[in-house]
Amino acid sequence: MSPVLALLPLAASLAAAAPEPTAVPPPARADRPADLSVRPPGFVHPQGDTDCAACHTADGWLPVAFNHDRTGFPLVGRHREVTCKACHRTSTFADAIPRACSACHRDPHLGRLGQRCGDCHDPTTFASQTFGPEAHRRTNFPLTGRHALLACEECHGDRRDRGFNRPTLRCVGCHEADLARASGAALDHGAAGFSTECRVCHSTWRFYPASFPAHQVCFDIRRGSHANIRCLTCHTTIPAVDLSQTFTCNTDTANCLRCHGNVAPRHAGVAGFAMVNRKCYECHRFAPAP
Amino acid sequence: MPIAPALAALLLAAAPARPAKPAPPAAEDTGPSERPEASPSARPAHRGTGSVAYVTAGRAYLDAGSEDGLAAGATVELRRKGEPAGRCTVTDIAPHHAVCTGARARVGDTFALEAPPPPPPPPRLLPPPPGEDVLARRRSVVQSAEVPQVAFQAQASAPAPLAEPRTRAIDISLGSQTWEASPGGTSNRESVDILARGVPLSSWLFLDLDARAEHWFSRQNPRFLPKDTTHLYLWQAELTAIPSDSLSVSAGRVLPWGIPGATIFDGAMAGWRRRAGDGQVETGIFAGTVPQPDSLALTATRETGGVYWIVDRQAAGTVLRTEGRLAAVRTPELGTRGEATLTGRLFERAADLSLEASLGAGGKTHAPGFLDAARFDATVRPAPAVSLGGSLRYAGLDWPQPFDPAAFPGRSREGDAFASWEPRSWLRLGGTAGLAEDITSRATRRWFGPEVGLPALPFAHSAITAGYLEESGWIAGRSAYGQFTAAPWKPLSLLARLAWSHEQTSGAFGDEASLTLGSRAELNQFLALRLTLSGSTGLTTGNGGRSVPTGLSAFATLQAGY
Repeated sequence: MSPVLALLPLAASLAAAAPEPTAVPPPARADRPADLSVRPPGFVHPQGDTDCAACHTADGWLPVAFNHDRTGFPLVGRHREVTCKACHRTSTFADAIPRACSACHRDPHLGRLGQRCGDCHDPTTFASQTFGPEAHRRTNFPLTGRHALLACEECHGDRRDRGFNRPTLRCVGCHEADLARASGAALDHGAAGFSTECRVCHSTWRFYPASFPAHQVCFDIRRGSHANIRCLTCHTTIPAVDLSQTFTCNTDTANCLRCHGNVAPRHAGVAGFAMVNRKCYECHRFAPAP
Repeated sequence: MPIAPALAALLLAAAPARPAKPAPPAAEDTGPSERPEASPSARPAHRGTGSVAYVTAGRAYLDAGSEDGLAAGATVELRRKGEPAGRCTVTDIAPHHAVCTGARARVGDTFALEAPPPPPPPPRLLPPPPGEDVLARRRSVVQSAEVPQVAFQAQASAPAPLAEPRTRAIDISLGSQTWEASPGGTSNRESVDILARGVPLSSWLFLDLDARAEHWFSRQNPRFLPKDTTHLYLWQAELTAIPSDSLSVSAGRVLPWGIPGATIFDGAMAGWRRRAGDGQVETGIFAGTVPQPDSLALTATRETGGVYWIVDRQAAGTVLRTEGRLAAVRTPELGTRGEATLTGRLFERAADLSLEASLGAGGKTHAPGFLDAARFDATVRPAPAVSLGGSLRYAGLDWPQPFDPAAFPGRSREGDAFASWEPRSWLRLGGTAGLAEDITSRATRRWFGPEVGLPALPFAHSAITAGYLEESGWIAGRSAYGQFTAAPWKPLSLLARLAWSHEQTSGAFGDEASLTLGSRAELNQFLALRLTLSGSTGLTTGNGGRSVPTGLSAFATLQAGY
C-alpha cells in the first residue's frame, strides 16, 4: 500500500472527529465574561431573536454585509445591482422566493424555449448569449464544419417569435440551390440516382472533394491517385443507379485508358491482358495503379 | 566654533531657572471633580517690556523668552530712546531669553512684550480602574438585569398595485458580425438593435420598442430573403395605456408576453386585472394580423384573435401561475382553425415545474389527437447542493411546407435531463443526457456525458469547466470541451473555450477543433463592449482534399444602456 493510501483512513478518522465549525458562540456562563466580540457573518442568536449584526455593521444601517452566496442564489452580474426589495417584496427576508428566472423575468420567447434561461444567457445581460456550436450538439443537429460559421438566422428563419423553431433536418431543405448548381456544373445527382442527403457523400466543410462510400465496394477512390478526382474524369457517363439496392460494379463507363494511355508495353507477358477498360478493372480493382 | 552661536548657547543654558511649580497634590480616589485647579495668581506678573542684553554683528540677545510672551519666529519692534530702531526676528528662544536677527540692535534697546497665553490647564487624571471585585459586582448586575425585547412591528403596507410595475430600460447596441470559411467565403453583417421598455410618454401612457436594422455587406449562399441585403425587423412597437390600476390597453405591434402560445401581431389587446384571494387574475381580449415569419412584414393573410387569462397566486415563497388562450387563427398553410393553449407553472425554492399544451382543430390539417405541441419542464433541488431536472417536448403538428427552406418545425420528440451536485464550494459535478427524434424522417440522436466545474479556480471570480458527450444516432460521434471564465475585476469578463468533436458519419470530417475567446468590458455605467472571436478547423484534409479547412467568426457589440 502506498504511503498516501495508508494515510487516508487516518485522515478520514481525523476529519470525522473534528467538530464542525460553528458560527454560534457558546452561551455565556456565570463564571465567564459575557461575549462581546463581533459576530461572524451568519450569526444566529441561540434564542432565535433578531440579530442585527448578522447583516449590519457598526458603520451604519445601509452598508449591508450579508453573504448572499449562502442562500444558494449567488448574486452575480446584474443581480448585484438591484435593491433587495426588487426580489424580496415582502417586509421580511424569511419568506423564501423562487429561484427560477421566469418567476421574475418575462420571457420574450413566449415560453417556447422552456424555463432554463441560463442555458443560453448569462446574468450580465440577456443580450449576451452563451449558446454556441458546442451547446448545439445537444440537439438533433450538431453544428460542424461551415454550419458552425453561419448566423443562426440562416437556418432558423423564423424571426417572428425568436423561438428558434427546429428547422428541417433534410439537407436539401437548405441546399436545394447547391444541388441544382452541382447538377449543372458537375454531375446531375438526380439522374445518377443519388440521395438528396448530401451528408452521405459530402462533408459539412465543403462539397468538393466528396466521398462515395458505395464506390469503395467496387473500386477504391478514397486513397491513392484516384482520390480527389471528379466522377466524369473517369466515367464517360454516370448511369442511374439505385443506391438502395446492391451496387452493380460493372458499369462499362470507366475510361481508364484516357488517363493511363498505352499501357501495353508495361503489361508484356501478362496473361489475359487486353487494351480494354474493363480488363484494367479486373486486376486493379483494389490496388492503386502503379 | 563660531563665537556668536556658542555665546547664544551659553547664554541660554545659563539662564536662571525659575522655581519649579509645586507638584499637584497626590490624587485621591475622590473623583476628578474634587481635584483642586491651579490658581491663576501663581503665574508671574507680566513684564510689559524687554530689552537687548547683548549684541554681536548679526544677532541681538534679549532678556525675555517664551514665558514672557515671545515665540520663535516672532518679530519684535525695537525702540531706542523712544524712537523705532528696526525689527528683529526671534530665531532661538529659551523660557526667559531669546536671540533675534534683523535690525542693527544696540544694548539697551527695548521692545514691547505682549502678555503670554494662559498656560493650559493641567491634565485631569482619571481615577484608577476599579478592582476586580467591583467589576465582578457590576457584571453580575448587568447579567442579571432583564432587558425587555422590543418586537419589530411591520407597518401594514398598502396592497401591491395590480398593474405590473413598468421598469424603464433603454438599450442600443451596435453590432458587427463576420463569418469566414476557407474554402468558402466571407459573410459580414452590421446591425443596430434598439430596445426600449416602459418609456413613459405620460403618467399613463408607455412605449415599448424592440427592433433591429441590419445590413449584409457580403453574404454567402443566403437561405432566407436572399435578395435583400438590408432588413428591418420590428418585434415590438407597442403603446400601452394604463388609465387605472385594473385596466391596460395596448396597440401597435404587440408582443403579448403573457398570452401563452400567441405570437406577435399588429393589432390591439386589452386586459382587466382584479384581486382574487392571495393573487390576481387578468383576463383580456386580443386581435390583429400576424406578420410574415421570416421578414416580419405586414400582411393581411395571417390573422389571430381571441381571449386569454392569467391567474397568479403567490404565497410563502410559492408562485403558481396558470395561463390560457383561446383563439381563432388563419394562416395560408393551415387555413382557419381554433387553437387553445394552457399552461401551469409552479415556482418554489425547491422546485420549478412547468407544463404547457397547445391544441388545435379545424383548418386544413391537425395533429394526432389535436395536440399541436406539449412540453414539460422540471427542476428539483432536494438539497442545497443538488439540482436535478429535465424536460420533455413534443411537436405533433406537421406544417405543410409550401416553400423551402422550411420555416416551420415538423413533428418531433425531444427530452433531456441533467443532474448537478456541489460537494464543495470549489467543485461541481454534473451530467447530462438527451434524446431528439424527428418523427417524420425518424432521424434520432442520443447523447450523454459528464461535466465537471471548478468554481473559484484558479482564483476568485474565475471558473474552469470541462465536459464530454458520447453521441449516437443518425449523426454519431463524441465531443469534449474545456472552458475558462474569469472576471479579474468587476468591469471585465473573459472567456476561453477549447472544443473538440469527432464524427463517425461517412461524408463528414473525422475530427474538428475550435477555440473561442470572448470578453465583455463595462466601459462605464452606460457603455459595454463585447468581443467574441471563434476559430475552428478540421484536423485532417478529409476525403483526399489538399488543404485543411478552417473557419473564423468574429462578433463585436457596443451596447449603451440606460
